[in-house]
Amino acid sequence: MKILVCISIVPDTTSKITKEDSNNFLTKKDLTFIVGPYDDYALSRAIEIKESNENVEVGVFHVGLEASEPLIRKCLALGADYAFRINGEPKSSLQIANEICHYAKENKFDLILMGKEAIDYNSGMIHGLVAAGLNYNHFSPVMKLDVIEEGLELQIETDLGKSTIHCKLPAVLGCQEPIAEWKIPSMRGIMSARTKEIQVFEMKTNQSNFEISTESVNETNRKQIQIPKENLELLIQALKKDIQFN
Amino acid sequence: MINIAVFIDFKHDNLTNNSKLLLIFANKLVENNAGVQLYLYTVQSANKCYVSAKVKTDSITNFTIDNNVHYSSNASLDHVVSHLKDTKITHVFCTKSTTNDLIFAKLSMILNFNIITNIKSLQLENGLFHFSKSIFSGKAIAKMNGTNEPCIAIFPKGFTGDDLSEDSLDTKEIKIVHISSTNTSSSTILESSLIQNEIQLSEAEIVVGAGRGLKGPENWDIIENFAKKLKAATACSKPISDLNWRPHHEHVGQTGIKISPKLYIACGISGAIQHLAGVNGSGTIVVINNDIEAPFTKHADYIVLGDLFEIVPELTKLFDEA
Ligand SMILES: Cc1cc2nc3c(=O)[nH]c(=O)nc-3n(C[C@H](O)[C@H](O)[C@H](O)COP(=O)(O)OP(=O)(O)OC[C@H]3O[C@@H](n4cnc5c(N)ncnc54)[C@H](O)[C@@H]3O)c2cc1C
Repeated sequence: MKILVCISIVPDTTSKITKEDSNNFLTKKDLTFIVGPYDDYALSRAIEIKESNENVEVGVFHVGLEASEPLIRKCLALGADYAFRINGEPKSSLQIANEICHYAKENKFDLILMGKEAIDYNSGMIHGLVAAGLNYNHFSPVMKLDVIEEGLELQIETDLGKSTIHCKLPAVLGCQEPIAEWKIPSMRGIMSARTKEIQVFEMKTNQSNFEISTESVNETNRKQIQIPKENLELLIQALKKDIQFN
Repeated sequence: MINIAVFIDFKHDNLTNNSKLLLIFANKLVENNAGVQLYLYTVQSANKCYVSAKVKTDSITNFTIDNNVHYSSNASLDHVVSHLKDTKITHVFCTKSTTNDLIFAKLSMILNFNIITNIKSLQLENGLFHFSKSIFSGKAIAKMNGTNEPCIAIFPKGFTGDDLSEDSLDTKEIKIVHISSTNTSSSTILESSLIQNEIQLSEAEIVVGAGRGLKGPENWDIIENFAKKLKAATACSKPISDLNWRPHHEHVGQTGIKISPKLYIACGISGAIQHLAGVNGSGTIVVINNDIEAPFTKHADYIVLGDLFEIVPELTKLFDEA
């Protein structure tokens, strides 16, 4: 079974986002970057599947600039077999999805995993776009994933609760916890990742004309009113004034 | 010509509140702009549909499929795609939900429409749509200026546009046109469990959240009782679900669910930046914490300093009387 894990590389979850002076976008210098937390879950599950099944190979795929290579190498250290980077700065979900589709059509994967969303632009759409582009089965958010005869057994979240699904391959899945525990690379993994190759290709799709024009920091200033615990009626009165309940 | 398809959701034969708000918003666009046409759709099975008398449409198209495995394949959308194409739809509006995310991501690729999510504002001027959307889990805002490209816009729950309209009365019954298709999906549902007797977290107007300050799962009753009194849903911080005190679908934040209720009450939660990322879209935030230094106190509207084991039961009692 060939598994492809698509990863986003995003500012660390503790990052303080600030605005760049010189243009109308957020500044991303000085920030620490990580593999998207949801993608990290997807990768961890892929590695677990590889470790407990024969004939499973795991590839890692990322659309982004060269600066992301140390993090791609970390994915290799965790146990992925090979990695691909599409060089460029994507401008929309659709553009990233088209790059993944393009690559996956040429290199046929049985299972494509990624996080349910990237925590920078939060669209949560890429797995669905890719599934449609490849005409694969599609589920998200997937909380449990097991390889069984003739496909996969999944537990997914729905609007009304949870469902257990038998899903045939090929499939694209958006993942979230508790699908797996995040992993830390072992020394052996780190050593062997040094010799694994990260193949680089140029972006194939055109830039989208549906792009962000400006970005700004969202300052919601909260009132920060302290209510003495001896006088909780004050809180109830204040809430009744602030909020229109249906 | 701008043809807007608004997809609305039902709950027990009634429009969901979020769908009502979206419909009122879309209708205003139609009222204020010549050459804009509104079309109503739903993918849930509808028996009756009432909308505000002002909404300029007299029917709704109801797409249904047999063997509906959560819209898991392109084939499950064939009838939707051909109908939208025949109607020459240029824009699609819907509210965020797990099902809608599955459907509209695929429609975006199939129809070759752009897709924009987490919308904060939308204006239509001279045939051009101006969007702003929240990014970085609400820490920042992105703007997209003036486009007439066809697109699918997914609105977060509670989206009202710039000014809140009170006009949400369901006074007009409209005709339902059913379009069904048989889709033999290769996937099958083995088992489903519904969240029962609980107010759904993502739909709730009030949410009571608890964190490690609760000390142990045996104390959850305090939170549960408080939530019941307020007709609120319950939520928790990540450690609480990691420790299996509460199910994973209740954890809010960067790696959990993002909520935007009118009121969020956080009990014994420190307000780590990853937690805030899931709740900063809330209308009013109340923090109950015994530590003035807790980061959450800087991100709250009201702060009650003290022991949650005293304050929460006391508040439960007071809401009783109120
Ligand atoms: C990549 C990543 C992703 C993450 N994603 C999430 C996420 O999605 N959601 C999330 O919540 N966290 C997330 N976290 C974890 C986050 O960093 C915090 O560790 C977590 O939110 C803390 O949970 P807490 O507030 O319940 O616990 P604590 O930080 O331990 O806070 C407990 C609070 O309770 C107060 N308290 C204690 N006793 C009482 C009492 N008797 N009365 C009143 N107050 C009391 C304390 O003063 C303290 O402020 C993530 C972390 C990482 C690294």
